[in-house]
Amino acid sequence: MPAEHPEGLRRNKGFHPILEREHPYVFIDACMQAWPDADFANAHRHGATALSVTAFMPHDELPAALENLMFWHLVARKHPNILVATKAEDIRAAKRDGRVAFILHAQDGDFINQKLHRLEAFHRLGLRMILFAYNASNSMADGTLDRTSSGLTRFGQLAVKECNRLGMVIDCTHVGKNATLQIIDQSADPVVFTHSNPNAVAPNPRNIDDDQILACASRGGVIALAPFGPLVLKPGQQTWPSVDDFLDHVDHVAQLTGGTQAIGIGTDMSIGTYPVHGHDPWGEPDYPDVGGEYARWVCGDSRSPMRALSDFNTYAQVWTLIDKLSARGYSEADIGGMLGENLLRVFDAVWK
Amino acid sequence: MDAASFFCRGYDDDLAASGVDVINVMVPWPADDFDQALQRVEAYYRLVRDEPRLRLMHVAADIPAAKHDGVVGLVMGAQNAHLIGDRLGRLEVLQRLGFRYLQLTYNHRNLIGDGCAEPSDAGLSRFGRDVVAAMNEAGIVVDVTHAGHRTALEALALTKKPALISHANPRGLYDNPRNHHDDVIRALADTGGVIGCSLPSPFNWSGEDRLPTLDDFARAIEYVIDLVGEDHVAFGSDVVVTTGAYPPELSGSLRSDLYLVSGAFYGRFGVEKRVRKVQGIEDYRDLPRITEVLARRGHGEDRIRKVLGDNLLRVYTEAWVG
Repeated sequence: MPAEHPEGLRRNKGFHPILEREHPYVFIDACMQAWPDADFANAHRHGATALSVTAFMPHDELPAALENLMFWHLVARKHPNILVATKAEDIRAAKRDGRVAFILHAQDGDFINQKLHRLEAFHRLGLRMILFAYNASNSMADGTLDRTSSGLTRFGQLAVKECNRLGMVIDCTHVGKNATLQIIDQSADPVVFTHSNPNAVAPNPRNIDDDQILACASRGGVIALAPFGPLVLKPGQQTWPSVDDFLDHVDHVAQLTGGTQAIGIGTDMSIGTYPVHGHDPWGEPDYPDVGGEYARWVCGDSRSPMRALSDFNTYAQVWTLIDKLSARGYSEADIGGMLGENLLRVFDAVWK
Repeated sequence: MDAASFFCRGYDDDLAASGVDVINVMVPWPADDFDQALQRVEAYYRLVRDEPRLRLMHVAADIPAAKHDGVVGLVMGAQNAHLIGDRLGRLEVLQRLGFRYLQLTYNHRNLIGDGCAEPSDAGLSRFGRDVVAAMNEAGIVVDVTHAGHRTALEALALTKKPALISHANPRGLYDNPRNHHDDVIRALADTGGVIGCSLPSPFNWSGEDRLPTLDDFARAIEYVIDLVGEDHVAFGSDVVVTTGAYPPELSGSLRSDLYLVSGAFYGRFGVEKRVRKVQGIEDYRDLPRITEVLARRGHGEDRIRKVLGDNLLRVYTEAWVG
């Protein structure tokens, strides 16, 4: 049976305590969500230097995508502790100044709707990272949960070139396997996975194969591993995953790629209250199940902190991650790289 | 500086001959929705990417830099703020995409206010008041060209930054609904703003049985100087930058508007190209004649500099952000 919510966690949905002891690292969360009721005034005190905020919902059309994207500029204007990063240097400056940087990140390319110019418009509006298809296939690429894995469309190939020209980081998470391999191959710039784990450790339709990891790493990209329960849960595991379980994913990728330079972190956590998932009463495609086992053994509530790890479900618990990485023998340089410097290397190379 | 033009398709001999350093380009067409507007903007991004002699202007310091570097600066704007729909946040979108001036209305009513062709002459809507404030904050110059009389007066009373009439003439001199009455021009001057006197024949025509000339146009400038002084007058050609680039489908769609505001003139003289602008001006290459006529009529160099660009640059310096 799924465990009960610990009472404190239920109350504190999307709430992150203030980090009591500073850490020296630039911690970039490659994928997270923020919602209007977040504690923005304290967002710089939770333990992360940069938050790659999902700027609008997957499948949003142009008007909604624009409005939601611009909301983060409004938040940054109202909160002097927050800035919108458009250059890698902005993130380093945020660390120096004790501020937090938002990276505007699109978890879908549907809003582009076959109009390439929208990529430049959104880049000018601050968007710096984009994945082409969120689980479902669209006019650019296959989604990872869809039936086919045919790769990039012709328009998708154009979009890769345009992202390279603009300096937009391409994210391969949620994208179908063949499309990710083609993106990695065709992109002149390194690309990233912002929240995916190795299938070799936790087979899941949302996780990725070793050849994807190796291809991404060999081009200088970063795989941000996800301390997100459903993607960490190992075969047969019936308990709430912990940082130790997550570090098995880290170890696998480190061994596979021969180092830590291709590893990042993308928590998929929220600040503020995650909305209730809406369902289309007319019906939904029968996508492969990503969280079924997790719902059976741990927690089925997508809004619960129990979707993260038992000992890393708020940013302030980043110390648990740091300490346990250290206990497994990772050096300070390795830890700094995995927490943020590896992604900064990609941002330096791609964001012009 | 030309406060009002459109359809720059490249750097050509006409543009070189015009002597213009910076052009306000009305990028979207008047009836465009937001999506169409984005596509038109993209065309200008591509234009400046491929043509090093053209450059988009984002901050006021870009303007003297363009002059210094010998390139032509383009300032993006639009003739109808209806393209934001009912979304104030889209003004910041436009600013970030490079828009630096925006007309509140075209000839007709929109959610913001009445255009000059509306018989009701209603003023700014509640939303329109918010739009003016949001434009001030975003650093987009409020342009009341084409606005109805009350809409213009109310917007000018509200704006906290210098405003613009990018292409119209004093109605006290030439009675056309597209021109503006003295009280509007005074209110504009009170904001620190400028009116770009403009070349279309109907706006320079006092009803006589002859086509207006460059001297008639110069009289519009002189009228404004007499009314509010030489610091509040500029120049907005309303002449297409690239000869022949004006899309026929657009002239077709605007034909009824043309007659709505200037029916008497076009009824008498026709609508052929040679009568459209004051005699002496047909294409962009003819613009140096503006300087010639002002000098011939005895205006000094300082004043001519103000009219041709210094006044408008002052407005941009005060109204743009960053």
